[in-house]
Amino acid sequence: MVNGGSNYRPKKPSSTPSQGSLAERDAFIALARQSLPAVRASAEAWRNGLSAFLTLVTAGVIIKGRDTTAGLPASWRVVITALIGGGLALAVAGLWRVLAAQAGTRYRLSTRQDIRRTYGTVEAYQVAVAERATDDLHTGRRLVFAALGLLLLGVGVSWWAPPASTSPPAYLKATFNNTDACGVLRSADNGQLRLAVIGRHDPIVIPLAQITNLAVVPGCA
Amino acid sequence: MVMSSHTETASDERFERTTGFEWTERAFELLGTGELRAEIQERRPGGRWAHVWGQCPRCGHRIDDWQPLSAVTGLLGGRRTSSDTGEIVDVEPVDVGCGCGTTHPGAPDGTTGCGVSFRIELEPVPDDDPAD
Repeated sequence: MVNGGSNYRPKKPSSTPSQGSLAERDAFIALARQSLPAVRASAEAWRNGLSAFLTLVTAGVIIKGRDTTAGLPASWRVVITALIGGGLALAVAGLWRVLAAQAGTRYRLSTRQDIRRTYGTVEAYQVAVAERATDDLHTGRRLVFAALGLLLLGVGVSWWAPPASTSPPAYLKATFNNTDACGVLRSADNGQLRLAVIGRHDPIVIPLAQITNLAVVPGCA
Repeated sequence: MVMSSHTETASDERFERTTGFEWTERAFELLGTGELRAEIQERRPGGRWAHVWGQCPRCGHRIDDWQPLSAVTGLLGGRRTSSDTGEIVDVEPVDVGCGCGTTHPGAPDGTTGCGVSFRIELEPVPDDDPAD
């Protein structure tokens, strides 16, 4: 006789079904019936949400990249990067929590006894799910508000940050008598070029007639 | 009406919503004789199911009841559940309603079964139990 399956055997019950236990049974059956639709709906919500995350991060970090900060001083670039990067990170975290509230997380197979032991009833479990979703929603909203603040601050700072100092705008490299001289142009008049070079107090003076090549360079090595 | 002899069947049993304890006791007797059988099936994938089949303790008609004992949940993931571990934890009470498929006298429209609900409890058998 295989009563109770291989790991179970019948035990004489001490009580009969109550209206509550029958309702609980029906509630659990309804929960089990919702397993597939719930997981599929969750998968759809997560798919859409994760796609949005990718779009957000790609647009914010990869495409925009250094366009807006390339011409700024390094210290301002650090501040703006921290604000925009922090804002994006908070936005992703906040949207993640909101998505978790909508779609749920940590789906897995649980037994009726798991629910009974942890929550008592299916109804209590569903209230706990709702409470968790509420917490996720509130946290997510706070994070997204904070993210908006950081992003707006980052944009505002990028508008008002001073441009990077460009003094001198460039250096000049002159070749004369098979020699290179590189420095800051002081003047070029009266047939002479004056270059202020590193290591010399007075600018060097080069007759224009001797110069065989002139080049504007970003710096003197 | 409760029959004095439980071994007889009563195909004309009137419909009555009842959870009287005598039907739970009667179901336990039938489990002993093998006229009613119950088991818990664990399928991977598919979770845990209670299967009760055989003779209804009240009307004597054949019943075949499947109940899920596991479901997909979204909040119990903080720790491993007994479904993950395969752990057998407690006595599993299974409340069964007569689903014999017969329309009994006095039953509401569209309702089949004699209206009885009874409880079966299944306890885990220890590994070292000689009766296992």
